[in-house]
Amino acid sequence: MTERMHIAETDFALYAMGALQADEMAAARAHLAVCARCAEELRQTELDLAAYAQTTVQAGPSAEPPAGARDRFLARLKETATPAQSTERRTQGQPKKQSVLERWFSSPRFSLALAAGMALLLIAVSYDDMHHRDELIPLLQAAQRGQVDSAKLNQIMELLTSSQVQRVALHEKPSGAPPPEARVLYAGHSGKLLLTAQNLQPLPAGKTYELWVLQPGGKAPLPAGTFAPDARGNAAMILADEPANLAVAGFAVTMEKEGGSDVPTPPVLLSGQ
Amino acid sequence: MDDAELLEAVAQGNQDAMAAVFDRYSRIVYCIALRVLREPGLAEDVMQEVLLMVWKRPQSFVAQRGNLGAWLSVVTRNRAIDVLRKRSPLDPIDDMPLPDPRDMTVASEKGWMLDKVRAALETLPTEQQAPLELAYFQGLSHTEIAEKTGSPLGTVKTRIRAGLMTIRKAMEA
Repeated sequence: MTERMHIAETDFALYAMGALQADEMAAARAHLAVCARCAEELRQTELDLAAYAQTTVQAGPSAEPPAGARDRFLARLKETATPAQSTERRTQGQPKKQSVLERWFSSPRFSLALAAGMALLLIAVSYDDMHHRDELIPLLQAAQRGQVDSAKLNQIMELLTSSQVQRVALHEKPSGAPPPEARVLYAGHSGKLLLTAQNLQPLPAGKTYELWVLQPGGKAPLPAGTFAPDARGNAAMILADEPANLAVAGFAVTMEKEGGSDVPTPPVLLSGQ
Repeated sequence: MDDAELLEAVAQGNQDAMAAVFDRYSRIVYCIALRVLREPGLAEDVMQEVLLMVWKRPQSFVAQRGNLGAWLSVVTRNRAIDVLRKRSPLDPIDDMPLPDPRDMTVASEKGWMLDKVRAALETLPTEQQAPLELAYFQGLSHTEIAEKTGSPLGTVKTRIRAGLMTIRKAMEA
């Protein structure tokens, strides 16, 4: 799947649950950033999963939060300022304190160790997000080594505590051309076969792609038709008169001379069982 | 007071409103975390963290008119899986998409929609229930599920999709 191609419908739930492989997750994330249709399907899937979660746990053994959990939560509320409260404090009651901090940060007596300690304290108090705080540790260690000056620390603190900043998450973008892939549908009872392929490389002059039926028991592959991709690398081929009830161990695609071959020429470009 | 009104009050720093959010959702959040972690202490930690995030970032819900119950369910499960695997969060918590087309809160209070979902889930064959359970509550990848169940990868994906479509149809019926 690429930014151009939509996410497979069977992958939405897996993406929402983080159950795809890392490269698949990255590709899906990149596509979701540019595709409203897939983003909407993901939202629907999240809702399905939420209903599944709620239904499953309600049908299971009854459980209540441990005794005292509510009191512990309310105690943490009192210790944790909301953004609104932080803004209010900054605009109403704290200009004097802010200017003291600013003077302190720009003071000649301001030691590097204390700067790093102060930055840590401020971040812990006003930006209690473990994910970002962990990532800031190398920067704070650099401050302790004297490699970051106090003005820069001040700027970082302002960014972390501001409610006006725009937050943008950046993710890995898949690189390189998407790999070629193909699918084959074969109806043994009628001998009908459909191949679809995408991301195929353009063919050199005088060449064609050829599909092979792999037979069990080491029998020679059977040629099943030639095809060529369009300008976008897509191809489709339907065959209505293939032998019926073939014993099929798999399919493979090779590149052959125009008109096709009787035996496949290595390398095998695509194969599946 | 509905969720939107509560969140407006939470955005103003009203601790009573946040306590009401806790009373409304702590049980379902805790139960989801407990189902994943099977350890009450860890489940409470996740519950506290997720609900505290509502206190810190209520404006994101107010602005997007998100479905708070669904969002909490999704975030709680993902955070619990992170704890289960002892890994850093895959995604920042506020980057999670908000599922909002239908109001699960109201439906949950009435109970009828979840009853329909429950009835639909009971009709799911075991081979469809198992991969969904393994992926959702145990955090297994599709390849791990394929190995565990001995099913082809494509079959695992198809069964999970089919299970969710059954849930969706039940909610839309």
